[in-house]
Amino acid sequence: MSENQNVETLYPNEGVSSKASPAIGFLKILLTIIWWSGWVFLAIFTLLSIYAALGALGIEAVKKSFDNVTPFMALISSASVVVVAAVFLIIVKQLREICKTLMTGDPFVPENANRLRTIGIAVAAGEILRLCSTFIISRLSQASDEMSVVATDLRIYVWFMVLALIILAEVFREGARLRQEAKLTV
Amino acid sequence: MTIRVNLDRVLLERRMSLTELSDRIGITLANLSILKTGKARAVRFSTLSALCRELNCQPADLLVYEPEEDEHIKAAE
Repeated sequence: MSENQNVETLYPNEGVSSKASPAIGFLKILLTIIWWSGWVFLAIFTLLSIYAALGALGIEAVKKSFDNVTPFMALISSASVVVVAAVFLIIVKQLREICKTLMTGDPFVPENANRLRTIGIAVAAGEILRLCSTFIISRLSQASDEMSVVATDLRIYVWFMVLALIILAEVFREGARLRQEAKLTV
Repeated sequence: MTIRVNLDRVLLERRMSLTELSDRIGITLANLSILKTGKARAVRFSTLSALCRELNCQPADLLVYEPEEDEHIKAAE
């Protein structure tokens, strides 16, 4: 850690690219839009969760507004969307941080390896949560056997993506180590 | 690190500043500072060659191997 700081001191301006690629600039704008949209989405579903929670608690006026579903089911659905949105925001935040290092011209830093790993863990957590909420909802709605199969559906490609992200994170960590070594080669 | 860089001493003997050496061999002052302060992990042959040429010395005048404490103990055993 101290070694990193020393190198930073010795290279105060190294890595600061004078002209960032237009594609990176576009990505940054896109991520900013997604970031704020995610917050709006999170806020809407948090309000819906609170509304459903009031219904589940037995407030009649709220209870009557639910037609086909029970307030408890609505609460489970909207709460799971809130958690998924939170996971989504964690992923976008990591991507924004990675994008920032890309803009400064030095993305091969150990922090980015940790960020990629965080994205992998977040995707895994989101998928586990999806499985849990689908399972609970299908049980609550007394679904047919066909629905139960859907509830326990494992999306293999998502787990492959988690695996790929964790491997990429380790590749990045090694890349960051080599970059550091190259910096300290005179 | 068990390799010590004696750039300081050689520069003093030649009455040359680090900036002057940097200009002569075309290596940035920042990189030479890394070398001088012992933070470098590796030295390219081309750098070593340029240093020896400008300082009129041998690689052994610049680099010294110093065994660490535990290496001394291992050797004694």
